[in-house]
Amino acid sequence: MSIITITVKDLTRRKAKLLLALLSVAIAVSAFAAITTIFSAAEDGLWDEASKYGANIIIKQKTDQVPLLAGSTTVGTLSTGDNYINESELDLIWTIEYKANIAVVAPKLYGIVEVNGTKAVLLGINSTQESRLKPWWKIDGEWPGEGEVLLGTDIAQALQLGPGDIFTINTHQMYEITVSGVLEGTGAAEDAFMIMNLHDAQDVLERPGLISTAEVRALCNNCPVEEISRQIEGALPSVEARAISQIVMGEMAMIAKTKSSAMAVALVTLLVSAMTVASTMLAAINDKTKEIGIMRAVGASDGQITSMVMLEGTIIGFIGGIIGFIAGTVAAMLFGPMLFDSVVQPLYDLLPQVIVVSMVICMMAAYLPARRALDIDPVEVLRDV
Amino acid sequence: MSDMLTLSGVTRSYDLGNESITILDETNLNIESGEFISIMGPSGSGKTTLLNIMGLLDTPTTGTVCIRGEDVAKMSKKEIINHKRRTIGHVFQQFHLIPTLSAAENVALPMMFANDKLDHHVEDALELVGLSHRLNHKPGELSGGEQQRVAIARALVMRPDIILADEPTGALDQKTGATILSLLESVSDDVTLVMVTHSQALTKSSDRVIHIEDGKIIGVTEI
Ligand SMILES: Nc1ncnc2c1ncn2[C@@H]1O[C@H](COP(=O)(O)OP(=O)(O)OP(=O)(O)O)[C@@H](O)[C@H]1O
Ligand SMILES: [Mg+2]
Repeated sequence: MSIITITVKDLTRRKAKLLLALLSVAIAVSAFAAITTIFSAAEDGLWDEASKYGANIIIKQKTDQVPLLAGSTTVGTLSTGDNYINESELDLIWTIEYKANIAVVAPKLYGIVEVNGTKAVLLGINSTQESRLKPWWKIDGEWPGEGEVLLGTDIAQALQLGPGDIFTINTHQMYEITVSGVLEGTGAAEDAFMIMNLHDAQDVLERPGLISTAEVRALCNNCPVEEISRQIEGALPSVEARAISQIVMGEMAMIAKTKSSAMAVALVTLLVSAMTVASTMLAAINDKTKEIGIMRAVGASDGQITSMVMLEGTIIGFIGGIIGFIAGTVAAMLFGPMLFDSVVQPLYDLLPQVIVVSMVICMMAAYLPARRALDIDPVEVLRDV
Repeated sequence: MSDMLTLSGVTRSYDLGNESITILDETNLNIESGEFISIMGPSGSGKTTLLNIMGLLDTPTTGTVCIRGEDVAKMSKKEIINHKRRTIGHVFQQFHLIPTLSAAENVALPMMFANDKLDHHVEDALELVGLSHRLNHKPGELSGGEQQRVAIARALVMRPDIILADEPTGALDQKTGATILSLLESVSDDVTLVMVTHSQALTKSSDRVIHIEDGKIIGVTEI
């Protein structure tokens, strides 16, 4: 027999109280586990998305005052003024030190055209490059070839055009053009765009050899996007290259902020559960003053009495920690996808940390009950009734 | 014979707000090794208090308690707990067993706290009280007499020098009480036994009977 046997037997006798203490520890711990798991998945998901799809560097003319984001709507103003880059300048990108990391360079030209008396944004692209940059675009039809146009879903609806239809664009001359396909709604600006082959667009907009912007995708794990941007600026003196990771960083900061407020709530839960454990254990000590008195009379030392109470707290913390981890992980896997639209995987590395935190909290909660147990005077509690 | 327990001028009083009540008053008592002492007196006369002081569960307000001539007040905490574990065994009127533990575990309890690993002592003690067949029974599954025998085995398991029994038959019927008494009498050959009792009949095999009233020893009968 050992102190452990006695403590376990005692705990199993008080099942209802034990369950209450376990429940409160498990709830608090599960909050911690769920928050950590969900946010870690959200961060991973954000990086994944940022590195799997889309551009991570945007190139534009240096004099440009208009902030430009990938797929943002501010591009309309670009057609005014002289914010153009020579298309041929882009070739210099392939001279930078990190050129091996460059996967896609997608040039773009924006302008305004008139169709049936209404104005519309015309976007010139290189179909090959653009399709590699935006693999998630769903097109009813084909990417645009020569003399063809891909319509955003909104403009297609407004003009009542579908794949195979032919219509006319009014600029300095009339262009007959065939609809190669309709882009399914992306929720972004391109829903309103007419998307053309770059060279057709340059022709229609009378901007031969010019582009407004280029999106670059550098391929690598944790790659030095900032450094690649700097090298591009060095190679192309007239452009400004901005790493999208700065944008991702901004989103990361937001996630971190949300996470810390959620953690603050979890911390309060943990404090409440520590108080529940403390009061449950205190009640248990009061229930068994007689037994503690007996142990005192038969030779239990201060240290032995304290270790019994502390052990009780540690056991509650250990079991509560495991239950909390499982509950928190399940909750994270259920609710994570709803909150951040990312796949949540169990964080097994978290288990030992969660258990240690939970045991430490419960041992702290056991401090007061342990003090109370030490105060028990066998003479008083063993006085025969 | 050598001195086992010596109380000199032991007073125990309680402070109750502004007044102080004295429960034991200037008590002097010397108990020799191997003696069987009975203590008698009316309810509230201070018998339990006296026993608690002898058993180091309580400390006198003034006066000294010596174990084998050594002043307890001058002992370290460690020496005192060692005496509690190895010199003194308690038997209470209400048995005071731990309900979650089996008979064997209750008996093993003092041994566990003393960090001794002498399992055969547990079996020996239970055999001595005639309960070898009840090792795994919980106190709730035992009769009053059996429970008191488990308690006596617990008091004996550390092979103490002194057994302090506070009305050990008080909660038992006469017949069961008689068997418990003869059990105590049989072990009293090897230990110093101090027993509180209400019944004159139970004192006949003791060496001395101490009569106590209002916290004072009013007489000693040598037998
Ligand atoms: N903590 C205390 N505070 C005040 N008075 C106390 C305290 N403990 C005991 N007493 C009093 O001390 C007196 C002696 O108590 P004690 O238990 O020693 O008597 P006793 O002789 O064992 O009586 P009984 O035969 O009923 O067991 C009693 O009057 C009791 O009320
Ligand atoms: Mg009494």
